[in-house]
Formats: sequence, C-alpha cells, structure tokens
Amino acid sequence: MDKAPSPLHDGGVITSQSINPAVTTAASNDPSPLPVPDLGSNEVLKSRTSEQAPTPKTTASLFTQCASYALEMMSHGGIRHHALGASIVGSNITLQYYSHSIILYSKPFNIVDDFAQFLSVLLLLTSLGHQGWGFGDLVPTPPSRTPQWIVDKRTPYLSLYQGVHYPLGGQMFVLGDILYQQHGIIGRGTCVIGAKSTQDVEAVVKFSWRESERTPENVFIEQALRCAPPREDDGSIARHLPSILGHKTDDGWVMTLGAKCEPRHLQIMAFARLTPITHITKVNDLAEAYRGIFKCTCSLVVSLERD
Amino acid sequence: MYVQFGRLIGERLTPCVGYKWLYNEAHILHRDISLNNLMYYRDRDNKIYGVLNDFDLSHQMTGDHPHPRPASTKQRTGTLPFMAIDFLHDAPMIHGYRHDLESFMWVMLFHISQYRDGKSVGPSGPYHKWLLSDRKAVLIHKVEIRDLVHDTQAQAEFRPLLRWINKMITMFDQAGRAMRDHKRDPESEFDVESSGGCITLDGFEAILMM
Repeated sequence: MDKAPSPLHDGGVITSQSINPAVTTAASNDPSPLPVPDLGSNEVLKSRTSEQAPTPKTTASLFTQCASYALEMMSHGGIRHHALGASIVGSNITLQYYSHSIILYSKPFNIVDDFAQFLSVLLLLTSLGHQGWGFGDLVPTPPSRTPQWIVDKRTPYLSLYQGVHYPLGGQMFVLGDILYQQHGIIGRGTCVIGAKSTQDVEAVVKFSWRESERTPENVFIEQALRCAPPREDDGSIARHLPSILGHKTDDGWVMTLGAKCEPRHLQIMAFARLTPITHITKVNDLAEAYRGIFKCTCSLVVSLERD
Repeated sequence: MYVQFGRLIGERLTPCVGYKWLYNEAHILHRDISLNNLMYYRDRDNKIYGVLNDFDLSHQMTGDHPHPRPASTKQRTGTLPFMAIDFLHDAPMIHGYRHDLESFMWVMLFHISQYRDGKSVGPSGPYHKWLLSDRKAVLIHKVEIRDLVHDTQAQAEFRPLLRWINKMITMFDQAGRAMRDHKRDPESEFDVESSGGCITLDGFEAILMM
C-alpha cells in the first residue's frame, strides 16, 4: 500500500482557512495532489482488526487507520458521496475528506492555540445536513441494534434500504437488500440494490458515481436498441441487452475542488433483474448464453452503422 | 452478428474486408468484458438468453473520436483477471475490438475452471490466484497459457468448452507472433486492429459455433 502522507512532518503547503480549513490538496506550489493510498488492499484493515495491544503509531499509520475507516464507510455505508474524518496527535488536529474523486487532508492546527478555529469547525459540523455528511435523497437506515451475527462475522449489513420506496422512471420501486457494492474510495462506487416495482417486476436499482465526462450507460443501451432491428424469431439483439426500467442523473453533487478532482454525477438506473452467468450448470446452456452475448457484442457494431 | 451482416451483403465479401467493414463502422466498444458483467435469463419457453451488462465504461466511436484515448496503467478500463495481455504491460495502449475478444476468452476460461454446480470452487481452482495477484503476476501467467507452458483446465461438466478456449488461444498466440514479427519489420504492411488478420470476428464466431 502506498505510504500515507504526513502533513505533521512536512506539511506541504496546505492553505488553512479560519472557517473551513479542509480545502486544498497538499503543496499549492506543487500541482500534484497528495498521493492517494491504495485502499483496496486488506492490509489497510490489519491495524484495525489486530488483537494486539495498541502501540504508539506513526503519523503515517494513523492516517492509514483513518483511511481504513473511510474505506468501510464508503464501501459498506450505503450510497455515499463522501466521508469526513479527523485525526488528533497531541493537540494537533488534521481534518480529512474522502470522496469518490479525491482525498484531502487539511493542514494540521493546534486545538489549544487555535481554539476559535476548532470551535468554528465544530459549529460547521453541527450545521451539516444529510448532504453535508455525504448522503443524498436515499439515507441508509441502520438497524437499531446490530445483529450479533454481523458483529461475529464482521459482515456488512446489507439491509440498509430494506422496504424503502424509491420513485424512478414513473414507477415506484420497493428496495430490498444490497446485492453488490464496490469496495474502494476512489472510483464509481457502484451499488446495486435488489428491488421490486409496483408492477411486480423483479428489478435491480444501480447507483453509480459516473465521471461527468463519460456518456451515461443508458445512452449506449438506448441507441443500440433503436438501431437493433426487430425480428420475428428469437434472434433480436434486443433480447441480449439489459432492459432499462427507469433512469435519472443527480447532478446536485457536481463540485470542483481543483483541476485534479474529477467531477462526478450520481447515475441511477433500474433494470429488469437478471441472473449471473455463473449460475448456469449445464454446458449446453452455457454455450448458448456465451454465443448470444458474443452476437450482441458484435451487433452493437453493425446495428449502429444503420443509425 | 456476422451472420446478420452476411444476410445483408451476401457471402461475396471476404472475411478480411468484412472484418474491416465491421471495425470501421464500429460505434461502441464495451471495454469491460468481465464475468460480473455477463448475465442471463430464460423466457417462458425456458430458452436461455445471455445478456451483456454494464456499459459504464463503453466508448462510442465517432468520426472525431474513432478510438478511445490511450489509457495509462492507472486509467485503464476493465477487470484485472480478464484484461487482455496488451493492457497488462506498462505502455499506454489504445483499446480495440480484439481486446474485448481476448477478454471474452479469459472470462470463459476462468468461468469453466473456477465454477462447479453454479458456485465458485475458490482457491482449489487453477486461476483463483488471478483475483489476488498484481498486474505483473497475472501477465506472466497469461503469457504462459498463451505460449502453452500451462495446459488449460476446466471443471468436469464444462470440459467440452475447452475446445473453444484452445482454439481461441491458438488465435491469440498467432496474433502475438504476428505482432512481434511486425515490430522487427515495422516498414511492412500490417493491420494492427486485426493483428495482421489473425483476430477476426467471423473467426471468433466460427469457434463459438463448433
């Protein structure tokens, strides 16, 4: 894992502002942002899960520990734009911001010497609403009491959105369990939740923090479907493409934190539920499935030529 | 797909021209062929339909942007165990259609060897280490498979599909040799997209129809 930065030692040149000190990447003279630790590795969790007695930690390992908490919040805390953190060494506090595009560390400041600034930060935190804490219109509902099996097995709680009604594409979807959530901080953070529409269609709702410059997924699929000629037999390419039940883009999260921060939109799409190909157990069925997928992949090429 | 094309144009087009026509007219590259993106469903007659999922990383090829930007190692799209060998090297590489086909091959090989009765066999499978290894380790192992240092393996019920995999490996092995020959003689005419004609859509489809 990359070594975490240690602003307490070398600081870089991080602007500290009186109201909101956590604003810039390190070294404003240096256009490169702070190195982003590779937080996909299980190595990150070792310090947290270790059963040994706590030992004096280096600054770098302290930031690693904080980053590991942010990793869990962003990977298993539902659909979240960002997470906030802070680390305190002696009387010095460093504020942290973790989002799907960038990780920021403030210049550390002394709680005692800069008590007014510390109070300002606390007041700011108390004024944050759901969006300030990184949640959108879908706020997860953790259980009132953590089930023991989750504690014992250290298993993510997947029913954060169980029973929530979510409108999309003119339909209402009742959400179920989280089927998949991407493990990591930087990236699309894709979260797929099982759902059922009010028309009783088994579905999934996919939340993804798409890079703003990328074409939305639904555009590709809809364009291919428009070009795919209908056929009376079963050979229609449309049968091999995902069936979109609804979609929308939430651009309320677009924010710029410098040139190195890639802006992202929250892309929400509902699809008819499918089954992973790995569930197929018979070789003839598997062969037929792969043939169909290959034909579809190729037809995306041909069909769009007709557009 | 090539079957559809053949019905429109007839069989007079040579495979090479047909491939070039398909590639030149290509407008969508998926760029993330991985096991998680392959799904299926059954209709009321219990007929099975494979579905290609997740177009988040797709690229629309237009006149102004016929190819996606060459991606650095930090920006490459795809899932490591299923990435084409070209993308496991350090040099920036333009993602072409042949890379999606190679990803199909690695996905199928991984699937038929790592899954039994619809469930993963985990570490007891021959390619489980691809999930845990870094880019260089995966590259080495894939090159060894391509160069026939290792035999391909599959779970018992899926062994009939090894004939597909082995034919595909032969195709990509020939392509790799052709590319290396071309690098020794860069002045020679060479179609990079098809690796000198070694990787064609109808060739790939012919394998799947075996």
